[in-house]
Amino acid sequence: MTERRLRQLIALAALIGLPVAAYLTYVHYAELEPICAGGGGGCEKVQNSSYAELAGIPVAVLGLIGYALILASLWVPGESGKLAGALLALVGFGFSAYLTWAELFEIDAICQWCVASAVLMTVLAVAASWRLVRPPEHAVR
Amino acid sequence: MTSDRNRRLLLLGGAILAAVVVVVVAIVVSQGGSDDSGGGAAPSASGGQAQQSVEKLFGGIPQNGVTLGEPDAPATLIEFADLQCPFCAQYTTGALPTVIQDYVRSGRLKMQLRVLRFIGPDSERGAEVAAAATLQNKGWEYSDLFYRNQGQENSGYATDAFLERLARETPGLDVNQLESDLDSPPAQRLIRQAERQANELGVSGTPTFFIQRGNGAPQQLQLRSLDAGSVTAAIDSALGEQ
Repeated sequence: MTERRLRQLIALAALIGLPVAAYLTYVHYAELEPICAGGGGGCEKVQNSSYAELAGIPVAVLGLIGYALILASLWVPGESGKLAGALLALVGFGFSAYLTWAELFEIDAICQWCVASAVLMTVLAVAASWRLVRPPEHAVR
Repeated sequence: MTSDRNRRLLLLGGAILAAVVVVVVAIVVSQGGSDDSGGGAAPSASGGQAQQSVEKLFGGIPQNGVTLGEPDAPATLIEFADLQCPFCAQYTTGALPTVIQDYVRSGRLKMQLRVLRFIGPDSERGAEVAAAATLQNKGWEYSDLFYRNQGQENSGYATDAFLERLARETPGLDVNQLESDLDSPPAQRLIRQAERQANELGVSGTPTFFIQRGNGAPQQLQLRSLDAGSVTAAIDSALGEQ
């Protein structure tokens, strides 16, 4: 996959993740119940659990900041931009994995919005890592 | 070429290592460093179950300060309680879920929890944290968790660690905010309001309940016992429904 394709993939995933995180941030502060396809109250249960906040900061806000920074890293030139993007995406992936574990085994509820975000973070982690390790294009011409 | 590839792989390795460190620190912070036993799928302590029960009990009910329930409910059930009082705990873990289900969720009643602190120092410390939690509209959940973890009266069990653990278990409670709200003027005002109202109504023990219809004068609820049947019968009687 070319650098251009990887950048497009990262931008696409981050641009999908931004409104997901923005919606969860909105429902958190508006004290609304997230709309959960299929009902069952899973999203509400997850959103009201102790895992919905990290040191008092809603996880949705952290996700929003994460997606925004990953997107912004695409415009940082050179290796430092790639490194920052990969680091952010890997942190997001690791935390998403922890939250998915918590949903399955601690909260006993699944929030589809969180699953969507976890999938996006996985895509971002793979794409950003790949972008970091692949040779620069001028070197393979 | 090879050294350049190795360098990039090393960068990725460093990024993965840094990410692992960040995530582990975040998890430890989010759990207050108290629950890393890794004991498998089931919650390792009763805290998880209590937390889920509290979430289920109060989930989706509007809460504004000391008030639980729809703001325009036609009547208010006012409870005066001391967090160390065993009868208050008995009522809360026994009858309260029925009262919430039958009266609060249906919009017939809203409830107010007025926490007093007359039994001893553990009551004072509990009431202070409950008042700070009330500022975040989480006083009902915090008090419920306190009752579920009640220790022996005035044994000094309400330590900082005990109170903080309950705060961390309280669903949706911002613990940092709670700590900065402790002893704040609004929190102190809540405690003073409860004590003033208890004096005005002649409350001499806990739990004591009053029913206020609209803006009328609160009428003390006459209870034969604290089980759900007695409490609901007394509420029905006070509401003129029996």
